[in-house]
Amino acid sequence: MGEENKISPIGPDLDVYAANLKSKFCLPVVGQSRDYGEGPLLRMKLTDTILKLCQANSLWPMTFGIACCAIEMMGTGMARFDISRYGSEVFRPSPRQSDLMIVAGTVNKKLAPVLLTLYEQMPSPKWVIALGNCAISGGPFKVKGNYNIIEGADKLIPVDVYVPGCPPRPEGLLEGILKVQEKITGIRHPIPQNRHPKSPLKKVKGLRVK
Amino acid sequence: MVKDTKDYKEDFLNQGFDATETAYDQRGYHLEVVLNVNQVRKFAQTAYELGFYLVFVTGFHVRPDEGHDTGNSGLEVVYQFARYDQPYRIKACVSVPNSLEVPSISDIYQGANWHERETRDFYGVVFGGHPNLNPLLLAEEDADFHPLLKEETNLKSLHEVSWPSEAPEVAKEGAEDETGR
Repeated sequence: MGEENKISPIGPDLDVYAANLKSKFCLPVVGQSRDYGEGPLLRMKLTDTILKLCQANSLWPMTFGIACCAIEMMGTGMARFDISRYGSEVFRPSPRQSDLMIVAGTVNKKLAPVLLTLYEQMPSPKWVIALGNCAISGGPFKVKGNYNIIEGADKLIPVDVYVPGCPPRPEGLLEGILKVQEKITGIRHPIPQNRHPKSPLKKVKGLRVK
Repeated sequence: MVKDTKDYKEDFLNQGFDATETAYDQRGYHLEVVLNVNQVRKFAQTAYELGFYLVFVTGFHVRPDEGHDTGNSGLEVVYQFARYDQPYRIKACVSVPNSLEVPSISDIYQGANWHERETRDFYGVVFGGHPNLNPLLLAEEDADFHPLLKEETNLKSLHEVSWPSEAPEVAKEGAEDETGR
């Protein structure tokens, strides 16, 4: 067969591929914290705080399930785990309306330009969660001879929160969203989430409730 | 085999193909056909006219010294055909010549179109006469990269990856094991 039959070293090639793609697509990011880029001309602290609290408590994720982690993401959206307790239930079908991208799965070479396009289409400020091992580092695909899987979404786009697992439990994603909220506001979500209201039955006279 | 089934061996032998009957319960197909490159289209046409459908087209890569015609590439393309009206499966394989060109059957079986593109992706087999031989599964940048071609050290000879000619040992029904139960 000759030369064309030989398998080329692939590992470094993928990184070069990702870097090339990134430089082609992405606008230069100012600083590491993308909260407002360089910021507005006028900055009012109280307004900022309120605005950030609002943003943190109403993150709109994009409907963007790539692989099996998306199943857990759907599970998180449903009633049992109920992502809406944290204000993130509004999965938008368009990147123009989203400010949170959950990279829920494996990013391969063919998907990489799509991922970048969608990220660039999201209006700033925007945040990214890498959900699961594939999106963090390539996961089970990070092997010798891998020729098609980008080893980590952070090779393409800046990632704010990494949620490990294969796939992660829905609680993991919820914690990831809480972490994003923490990153936005600077404090852990102030409202206690899991406290159940006292039973109204206790107020009824003559009823014995354990 | 199910009763009232037709054996298609003669049909293919009459057309001049090297067809061998095989044990379905061991191999998973009833007829094995070894083709050369010039016979591929004629075979596909014959199978089509006899009412077979195409199951898959794929390839494999072996060490090109043993069990092959001289001067081939070590690549084989495998076709499987089957029927709707009775259980009958045919495996047809063809050795790919050094030019890596095998005639396309995508105008006879439209379903072969994507299978052949996939085989080109993975093994670099060029299907002559294919209308659109672009990468199907791999990225456009990888048009010249064929991931399923093996390195020299990993290659096995054809008889190592083929079924043994004698029937494999299987446990007989009702046989007693060593403990006598």
